[in-house]
Amino acid sequence: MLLRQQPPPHAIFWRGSFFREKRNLQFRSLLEEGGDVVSGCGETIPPLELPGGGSHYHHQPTLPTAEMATFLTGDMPDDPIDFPPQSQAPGLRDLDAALRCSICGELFDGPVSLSCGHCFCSCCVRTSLSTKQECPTCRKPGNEDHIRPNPSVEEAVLAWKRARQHILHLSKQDTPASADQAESGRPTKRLKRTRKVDYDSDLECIPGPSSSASRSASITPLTPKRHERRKPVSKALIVRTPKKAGSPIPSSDVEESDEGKMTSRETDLVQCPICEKKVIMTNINRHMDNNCQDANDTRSTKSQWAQLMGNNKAKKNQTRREDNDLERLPKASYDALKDRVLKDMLKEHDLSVTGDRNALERRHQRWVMLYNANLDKSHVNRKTIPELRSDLKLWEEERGRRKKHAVQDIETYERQHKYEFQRLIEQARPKQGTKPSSARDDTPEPGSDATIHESSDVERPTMSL
Amino acid sequence: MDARLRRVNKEIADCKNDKTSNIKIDLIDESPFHLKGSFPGPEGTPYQGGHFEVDIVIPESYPFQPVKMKFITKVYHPNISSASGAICLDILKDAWSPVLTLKSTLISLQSLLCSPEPNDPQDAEVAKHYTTSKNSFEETAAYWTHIYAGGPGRSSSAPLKGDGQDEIAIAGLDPAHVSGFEALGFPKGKVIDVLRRLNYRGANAAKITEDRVVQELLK
Repeated sequence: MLLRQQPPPHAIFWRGSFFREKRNLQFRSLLEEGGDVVSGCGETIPPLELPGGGSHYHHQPTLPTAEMATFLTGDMPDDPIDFPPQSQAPGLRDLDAALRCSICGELFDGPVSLSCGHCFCSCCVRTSLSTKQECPTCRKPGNEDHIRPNPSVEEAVLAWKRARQHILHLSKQDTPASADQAESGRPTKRLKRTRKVDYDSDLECIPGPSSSASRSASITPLTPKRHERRKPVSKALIVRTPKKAGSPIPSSDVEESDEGKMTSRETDLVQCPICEKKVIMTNINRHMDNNCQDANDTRSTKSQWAQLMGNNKAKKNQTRREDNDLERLPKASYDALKDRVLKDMLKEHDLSVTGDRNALERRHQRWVMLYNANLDKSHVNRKTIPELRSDLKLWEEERGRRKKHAVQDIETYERQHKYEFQRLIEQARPKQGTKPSSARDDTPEPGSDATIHESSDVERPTMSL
Repeated sequence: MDARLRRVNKEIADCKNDKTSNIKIDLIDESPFHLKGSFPGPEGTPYQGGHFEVDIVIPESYPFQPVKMKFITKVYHPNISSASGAICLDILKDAWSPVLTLKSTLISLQSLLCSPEPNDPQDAEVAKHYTTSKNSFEETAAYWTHIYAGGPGRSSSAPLKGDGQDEIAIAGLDPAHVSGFEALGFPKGKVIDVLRRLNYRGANAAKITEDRVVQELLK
């Protein structure tokens, strides 16, 4: 009964109805207008009847701005709520949320910790520290010197990135199925059972060592009818597994010799009577012939050690060398720099020197941040310098676009923001009407209404009462 | 999609998904960076039962700069301008942190309604009213909640007797005081204005001489 109240599967895995409502509205208005429908707007989203509550939303039939278009058509960024809620998949949302930066809301990109232990993307926290020198979470004072890379979290994020799609897929599969068999119980239970079945089937392939029970199980074809028998069998197997490790030689078992089927034991480990080492059954003769010196073994251990030591050494050297190569860039105090010096600093990193002084400063500042943040990642995850350069370029272009957008093409801008302008004009009108009268009334008194509000909008007054 | 848009997207989705917090975020116009937040007035306060709307503007460098918020709904509160809806709250100014979200900020506004801070006022007159006679302040705040935020009417108050009554109650004044000065021949609007400015309420009324009021009225 509980499950019946769930939203339909597409609502769970497709970001809330909010976006669909909005998109539909947008889509509809575009259709009504005969304007260009941004492709993808209506394709992925099944048409929904608009809920009654949707009507309070004041919708204006204007063309969407560029941002709105991305907002409506762009894929929703991945988010913890992609996963089913706590009741259906305990901990999945929390897990996803725990691996996200609290500043940008994305999975950690080059995670670093401050001295208080809070973890953020390197880029995010560097930007934050440049505005205010404190931990964004706990407000403990901090600065860029406190930044420490957090490779463990980085690894966890990488692993989670790889697993995320898969788990999402699994949970997607799981939920509709559990909704079907609503009376059979909670979906989590079903998940467990699936695993158990898998476990059983694994065991069928690898025959048990010595017990008749396991043997019978392995021979018995698995039919749905036998379903109830499987559980005890698997239990017996699980119990037996440690026992098997302790028992020295299984071949003394009477039942086994009776069975006479040895093929199944090819991979079993047996203890060598000479050196008491465990050796794979089929290799035991060769092992004893070689005076218990497993050639394969020794070589591998030796090479393993060599590899370990050698590799480590090489890696260490490499790390040291690379770290020497890639020193973190110092922050510059731009006020003290002449244009020429600043340009030289940019040229040093092959960055463009076009634009005014402000642009140069911002470009260098951003570059230092990108560069240093990149060094907070482990070697494999670092971007190359050309990649960083193109990142910087992208960032500048985006900033430029934002600014340009406000200036150029006045007519379209006016059309796009017609509603906003109208609203502002409407807001301003009544104020203009009342202002003269209130000004007449209130101006002499210093603590009067008008003066307080005007000044407090800019800076809040400290009143002594 | 740039980082700011992605984050705003997530935040709206998060609010939409959270059914327990009672915080809502809607679009106002065609920009995802101009939103309208709303929440119910906190229980056990004069704002109980009201529905408060907040205008939200997300700045260019969000989340490294605070969101701009102001009340659309008129609120009678020491830290909220009764005229413009401007809010005096540290996290909207210098105490902002990039880990704060639209939801957490709106929850902070909700709790600001629970605990006014009259020592750091946005609206000095309302703050004066609050500090001198809290009961009268709460009555006025509840009245504002009733007429502007759709809250329940005061059980004690008689049905509205027209605009005049309205004006006096909005100013949080005693109708007897207003009519007293009106009888001296001053226009009602002016009387309300002066009395409100002088905080001529409750026990404070006794401290202000009538001469002083008349002086103000004659100005």
